[in-house]
Amino acid sequence: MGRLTDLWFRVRALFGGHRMDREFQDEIAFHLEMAADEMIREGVEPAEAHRRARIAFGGVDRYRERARDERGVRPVQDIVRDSRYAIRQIRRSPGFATLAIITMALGIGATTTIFSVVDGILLSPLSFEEPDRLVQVWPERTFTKRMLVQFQAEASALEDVSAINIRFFTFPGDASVEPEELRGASVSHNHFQVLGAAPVMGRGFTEDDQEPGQGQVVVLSHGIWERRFGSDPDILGRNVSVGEGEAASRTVVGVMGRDYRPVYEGSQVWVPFQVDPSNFSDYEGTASLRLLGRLTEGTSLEVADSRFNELAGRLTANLDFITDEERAAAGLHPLKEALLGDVRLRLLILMGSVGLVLLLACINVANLLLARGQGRERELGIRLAVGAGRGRVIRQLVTESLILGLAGGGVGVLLAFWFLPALVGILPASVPRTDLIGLDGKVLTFSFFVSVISALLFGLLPAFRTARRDVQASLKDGGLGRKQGPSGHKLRSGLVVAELALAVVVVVGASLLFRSFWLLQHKDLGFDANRVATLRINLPVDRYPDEAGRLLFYQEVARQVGSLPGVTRVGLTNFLPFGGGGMGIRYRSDDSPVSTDYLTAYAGVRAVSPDFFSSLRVPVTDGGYPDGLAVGDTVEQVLVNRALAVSLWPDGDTPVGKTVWLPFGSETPARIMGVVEDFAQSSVERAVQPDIYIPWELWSPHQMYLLVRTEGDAETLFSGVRSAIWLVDEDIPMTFVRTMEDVVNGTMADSRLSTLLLMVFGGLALSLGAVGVYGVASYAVTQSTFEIGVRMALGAGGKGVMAGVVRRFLTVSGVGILLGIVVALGVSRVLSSILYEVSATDPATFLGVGALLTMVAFVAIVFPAYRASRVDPAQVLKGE
Amino acid sequence: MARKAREKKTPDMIQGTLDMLILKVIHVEPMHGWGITKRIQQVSDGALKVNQGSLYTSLLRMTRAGWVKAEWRVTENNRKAKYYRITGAGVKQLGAEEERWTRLTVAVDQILGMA
Repeated sequence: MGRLTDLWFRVRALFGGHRMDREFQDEIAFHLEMAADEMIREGVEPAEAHRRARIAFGGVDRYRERARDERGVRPVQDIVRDSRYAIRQIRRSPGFATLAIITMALGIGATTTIFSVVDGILLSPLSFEEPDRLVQVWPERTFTKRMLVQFQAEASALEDVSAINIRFFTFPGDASVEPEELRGASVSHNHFQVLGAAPVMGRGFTEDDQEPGQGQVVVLSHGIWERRFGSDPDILGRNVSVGEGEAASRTVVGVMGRDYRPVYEGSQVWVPFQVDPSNFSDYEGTASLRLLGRLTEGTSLEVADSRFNELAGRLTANLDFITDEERAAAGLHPLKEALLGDVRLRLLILMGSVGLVLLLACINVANLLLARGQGRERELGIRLAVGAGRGRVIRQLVTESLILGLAGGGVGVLLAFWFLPALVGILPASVPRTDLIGLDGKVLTFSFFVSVISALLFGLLPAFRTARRDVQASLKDGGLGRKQGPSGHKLRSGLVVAELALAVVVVVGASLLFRSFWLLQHKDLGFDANRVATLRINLPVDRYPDEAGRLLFYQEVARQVGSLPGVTRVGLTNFLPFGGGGMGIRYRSDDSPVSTDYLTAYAGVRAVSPDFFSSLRVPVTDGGYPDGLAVGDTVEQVLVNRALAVSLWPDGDTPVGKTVWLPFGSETPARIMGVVEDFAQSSVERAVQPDIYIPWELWSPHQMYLLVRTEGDAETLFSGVRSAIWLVDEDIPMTFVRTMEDVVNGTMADSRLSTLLLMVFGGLALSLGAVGVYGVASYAVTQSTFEIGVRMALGAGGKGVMAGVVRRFLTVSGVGILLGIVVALGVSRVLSSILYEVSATDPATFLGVGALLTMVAFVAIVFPAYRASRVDPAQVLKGE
Repeated sequence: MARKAREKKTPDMIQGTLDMLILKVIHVEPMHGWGITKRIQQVSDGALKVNQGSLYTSLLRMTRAGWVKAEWRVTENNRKAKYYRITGAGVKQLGAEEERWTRLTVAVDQILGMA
């Protein structure tokens, strides 16, 4: 009740202020009259009585002010008044206002843009049930089915563990729909349960689906059910062709909800995999599963993580291909973090850098305000002299800053509306959750608070300093502000130091990333991606059921494409380098001095055509592709890469002619026919792993990549290649049509983008720092024109004056740069994990950045210093 | 400077005490500001002098708090004056203030009676 009355009173006071003033006047008038009447009755002269009554009351005006305060609306009224005054003041110096608003707009615009990306990708929760309990098990590794079963049985901190393997499914075309290839996954039966998701129609998978020979079933996404199956209400139980491996036809058992967001974006098809301990190669070998787990209710991540680390150490103790270091790092990672991987760190680094840039912008504006404050000494001096409180003046100045900050923020948000779509447009495809990015209420609230905080940051210090000046002094010397106390120097030097230190930190970060990216791009991959066009062919299972038919098709395609003008080589393989995906196989050898068994040795395995290596210009240095193979040959003959050769024959013995045993179907001896030089397999950064190449005569999968090397431009090749393939079979879907260069660059896309953005921020930081130093030096010179004039009148030379200014500011700049380098040495460590072959404390980079900043500072100082040397003493002294 | 000296002349009345006295006076009958001043002086035999400014700011504050209500009325001398009337909340507040005052004076008496 009391509070409501109070509020109502204040609201009335706010809008009826004048009426209240009048009423108060009337009330006091009545009081004074009564008091005077009393005195008149006692015989005092009426005029004298009125005077005494007023005196007794003690200053009517003072109490009117107090009464106004008591109405509790003073702050609001003051803010309105201050704001009006502030806007008038700001409009009086449009140049200053424009510069300040643009500076803040750039800072806040960039911050808002990056924050909306961070908010969408990092901060919004995963759309699964209790997403905080979801973890990815040891994300650095993939697992075999046996490991899945072991972890399921023994990981006590995990309620359940499921496995997922990304795969592609070919949906054949018919009269009404095109053939197409869709992303999907084969999963353990409990995949959806662990996520806490369920189909809206039908069921998920059950344990039975996982039994060998069981469950040729499939769950479809809502999108594909609508698009490919016309939202068929009777879809459940229908057999659909998904063209994947041997299980070409599967029974639909479920359809996911429209808003179901799969773990790996773009997945539309889910099939259960079988777990069969008696099938050695499947159980132990080829599967490359990722494991997702749900923490047991009430178990903290830390506890679960350390328990898992212990378990993983025990279960993998005898696996040689896992190093002790890797084993020590085995752990559980929050699913969101694991899915984001590098992206998370990159975004945080960008957010940090953009924050520093904003801080720089604030310092620049603070510097502008300081300079302006000195120009306004007279105005403020008068206000102080006529009785405005210092607090009141400070509030006035801070109000001006707030208005500048909010105006800058407003323009910044407008800029963000323009920056953000551009940025989202160039985000690499590998960045997940981009559809969650947007300038929503949360982001706008953030921008508002950032604007206010920035305004306080850049406004408070100048406001206090400006209001602290000695009133009398500033009025006496006519507001020329000629004198500048030592604290003024100190403050300005402080600003220069801060600006350069911040700029150094951002520029160091940008330079380290740039160096790393440059090395990444110029790394010898071991193959030549130039002038190579690639695409993937998917042979429909029903039309090409056997190996021989597929080989014939591929051979004919190679022949047709090879006869195109300009084409020099045509190679085929089922796993393209840098193309994602891959398959592993275990191996052992009795011919090696190193003792090996299936549990310890693991290699990638690819099917290749004879010209695969030459299409990428990868040398085969020892032996070669086997001749005279025929489909169905039982004796396997393979090629291996140098990494495998070295691991089995470290003494340099030739592996050619030796035998490795492969659990390929049943255990098979395979003779090594050739050694291929190492080339980067999945990314530049990853060390080359052992690889085994199987001739296509012995293994012709349904999906093969075509690599076409040409003398001309790879881009122009595609239509010709497509027609050539359609000459062989006009009903073949082709996907991943790209040049090999694009394939390679695609894996560096996020590195490229974060490097680019950080360089933009580095450039911004550099220019803000330069402008700031220039501003400070230039203002200092203007301020000391008189002093310089006097010194020159006394015989100082222009050169000496110039040198003096340069020396003073260069020293201060040097301190700032050194401080920045020290800070950067401390914080650049966060970059380590995304830096490639560059140390986070790379001396060359730090020295280079230090030199660059010194040069920039020098240039920023030289111009004002030159101006100082041109001061005309006669004019200065006359000006007095 | 002069301002401070003037305020020193009359002993400062504790904020709550002035409120209590005003409430007590208008609890008897609604009264205008001048009347409240006179009444307090009369009843206390001139021992308590009310600072005019404090009186009106106090009335304003209590209006805001909802303890008193103001209305314009005509006095017996046919003049317009603002009369203050106590509200239900004001009566409750008065009770609380009186109780607090009693406790305080009892405590002070005890301390003074110690020697």
